[in-house]
Amino acid sequence: MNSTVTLEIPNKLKTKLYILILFILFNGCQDTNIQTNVEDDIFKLLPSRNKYVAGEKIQLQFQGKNNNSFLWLSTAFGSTMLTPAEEKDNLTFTFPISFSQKSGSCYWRLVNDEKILLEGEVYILPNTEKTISLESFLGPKRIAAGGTDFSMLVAAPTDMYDNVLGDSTEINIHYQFKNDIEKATAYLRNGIGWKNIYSPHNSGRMLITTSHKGQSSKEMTTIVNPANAMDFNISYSRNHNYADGNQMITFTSDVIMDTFGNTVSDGTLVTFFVKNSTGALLKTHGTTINGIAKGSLLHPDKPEIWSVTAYITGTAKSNSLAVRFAPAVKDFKIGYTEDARTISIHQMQSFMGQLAPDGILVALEIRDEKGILLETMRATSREGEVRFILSKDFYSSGNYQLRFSAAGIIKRKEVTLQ
Amino acid sequence: MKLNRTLYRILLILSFLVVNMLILAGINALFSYLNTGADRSSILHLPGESSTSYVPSLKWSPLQNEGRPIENQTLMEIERDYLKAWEIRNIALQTNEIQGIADYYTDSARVKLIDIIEFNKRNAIHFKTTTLKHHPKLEFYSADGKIAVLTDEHVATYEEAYFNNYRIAKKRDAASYQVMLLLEDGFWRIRHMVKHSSKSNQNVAADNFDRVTVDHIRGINYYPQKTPWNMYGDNFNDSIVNNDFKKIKTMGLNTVRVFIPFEAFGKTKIDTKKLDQLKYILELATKNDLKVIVTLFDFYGDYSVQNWTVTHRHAEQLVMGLKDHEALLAWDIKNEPDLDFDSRGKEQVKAWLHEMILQIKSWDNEHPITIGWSSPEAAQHLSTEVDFVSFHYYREPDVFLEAVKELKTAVSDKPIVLQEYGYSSYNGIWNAYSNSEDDQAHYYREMQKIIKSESIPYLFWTLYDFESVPNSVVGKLPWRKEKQRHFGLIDNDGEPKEAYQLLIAPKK
Repeated sequence: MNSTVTLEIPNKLKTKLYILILFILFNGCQDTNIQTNVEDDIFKLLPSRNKYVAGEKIQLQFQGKNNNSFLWLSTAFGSTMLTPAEEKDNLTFTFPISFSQKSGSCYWRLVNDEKILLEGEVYILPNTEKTISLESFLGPKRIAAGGTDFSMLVAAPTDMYDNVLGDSTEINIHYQFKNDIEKATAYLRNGIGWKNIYSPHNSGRMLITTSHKGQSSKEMTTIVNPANAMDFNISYSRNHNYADGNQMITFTSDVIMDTFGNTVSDGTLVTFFVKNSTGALLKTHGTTINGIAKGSLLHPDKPEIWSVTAYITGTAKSNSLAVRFAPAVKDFKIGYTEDARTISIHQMQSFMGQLAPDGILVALEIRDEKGILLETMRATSREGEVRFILSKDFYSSGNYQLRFSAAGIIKRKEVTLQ
Repeated sequence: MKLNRTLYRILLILSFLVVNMLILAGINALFSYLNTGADRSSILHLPGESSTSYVPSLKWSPLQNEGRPIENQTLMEIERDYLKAWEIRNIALQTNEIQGIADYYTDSARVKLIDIIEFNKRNAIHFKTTTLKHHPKLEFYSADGKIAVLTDEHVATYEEAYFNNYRIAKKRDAASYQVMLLLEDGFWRIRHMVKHSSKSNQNVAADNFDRVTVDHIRGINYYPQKTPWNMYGDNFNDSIVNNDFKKIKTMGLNTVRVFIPFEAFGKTKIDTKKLDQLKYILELATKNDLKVIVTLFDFYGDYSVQNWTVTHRHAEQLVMGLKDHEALLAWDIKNEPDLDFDSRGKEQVKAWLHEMILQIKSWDNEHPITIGWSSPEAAQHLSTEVDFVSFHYYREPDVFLEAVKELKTAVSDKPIVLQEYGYSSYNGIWNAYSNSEDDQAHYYREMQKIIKSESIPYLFWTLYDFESVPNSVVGKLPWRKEKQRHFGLIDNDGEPKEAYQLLIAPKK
């Protein structure tokens, strides 16, 4: 309908009309304040925009006379009321900076004596022209190598007034690991942009930074720890193979690696479990240094076959080792005093004929004639000798059966106590 | 002479005793003064009782957030701290003080809040604000569990603006917020908060109740004889209530009005035992073919904006618990709230009532809502908001008709209900033996005539003379208490008074 009319209008008028239409369109786009007249028409909002950029001066002007009116502003962090500056017939309200610099919706109401006369909304956009700050968060700060674990980078960039930027703002992410520098992009949604940065196969440090329009964040670091250890081998070393109860045997692991060939972190706990020939469990611990863990145990004091396996709890285990110990003490002699009440074991000789080291356990079982066990006495050797005294108070005169055991050697005697 | 000596002796001994007592009292005062001071437990910095003055309704949208799946525990912590942040903000806007802000807003965020508060303080402006409903949706939760982003849709807010302590305006609105929270020092603190579109919010109540039931109310304000104003808990006796209801039914009445004391019912934590008793009363009413008007918020008197959410949670539980009961006739929000106008401010009380109507409508739009105003004049308040207008009348019958006509004109098409009226037959020293059961009968004869001719639905006060009246009802003064005890149609001995016959309604 309109087009047919314009066709009939002379050219000169036509251009004027175009200008007019453009003008109306232009104004129409900007001036879309929601206005609801609650009271009569005394007040009128003079043309103004409803979109501003944070930091711009915002003024609302109303046609009207009542200077007892307030402009009530509500934003996210709170509300305030402004008093007007009066010029002729107009009321002019200037937003304070705490409101004009805060992005988001700012709802205004012109109020007067319990009445809301006019209301509307201005929308303040974040100021993207000026310097922005790229607040970024990275976490967790330690991740495991291998590409399944990740650090999450969250960027919450703000404009110079600390307003969050709008959705779909592009954020560039750079991350460096060893010789590689990679780039990625994230887009803001709900004020934040985020990206999971997955670990490489190697352990080391990864440096991460974000940027937007040439502004960069500070450098952030995430440490890539080796992944879980793989099964490993252990070996042992000892001074000799005799069960002298005196020397140390040391178990040593190989260099323990993860699936990707990274040496496990220093301090990884390795537990060495030893099962002896009676089925008892002994254990010792070591933590890795450069992937190697060591654990030590005292030699047994009697011949043994040990089976040794090491574990990293919940993660990896080693091969099983069998360790044999040959008897150290070959024989010992038993001596009595005249009344047979003091019994000594002496000449406990070790594998080279030397006196056995101190501390070899000797057990003496004492039974009466009928073979009923009366007592088991235990003592440890000192300078190759152990002494037992059978006191008169406990053992009346008579015959007794004695059984000595030391370093795996068992001897029996019958004595007559005086 | 001898008498004199004895007198001196007595005086001497007495003064000795008095001096000793004074010395002891002095030592005692000094000792207790030296023992006062900080409570030892304050060394421990124990967390205070969690606040129950701010409990807006909050419903999380189903969890579909980006980032890491959230643990329920963390979600509860976010909820707690997020609401606390709102509460602190609301308090700060009211008092223009900044206490507590540092705990719930990060460094950069609190600057913005404090700027606003300082501006308001300089200009003698403050706001009474509360949020009523939150609908948060978790948008994002970071892998390390330290960042959360949520959007809170349609946050219903009520706000009053004050300049130099004069109220300038009030508003209700609903806005959406985008919020980013950071976990710092064990607090989820607000880092960013952006308001999105807001709009003025006027809930329009559905008006689909059965008007006929209201028009035919013939009823009674009910309390048992032995436990008036205190009939729940250990005092509850279902057989007494049942017998009374039978009696009420045989009088040809069809409605009872019962009261729910706010504090005794447990404020925000409704005492389930008492709620069950109330449900049982409704059961008994159904059994005896009676309808029940439930009057909420008996003995409540705060009304302050900061306290609103507490009353909303209280009402929500009661309304949700009772709304499906067939005996329920209507919700009466509060008994005689206009009596609190002087002490609490007319506008404040009205604002509370108005909001409560909207809240109850949002839970139950089947049952009509009313307010039990203490006089026909007061009943004009909020008459457009209630579904029917209730008023009480304790003045002379000869001006009753006039008052009713005036009210009818003022509220135009709204049904009106005479919700309380009655006459005390107290005849004793405190009123100089001026009333009698005859006078009471006369009163009812006059009143019932007008009620019948104008066909006004009515509920009279009350069935029984009461044995005792708690101080909280009419105070301690004996002439008030005695009067209040004798409003019944049945006296303390169980004998019907003269007026009893007059109130037997014709059966239909």
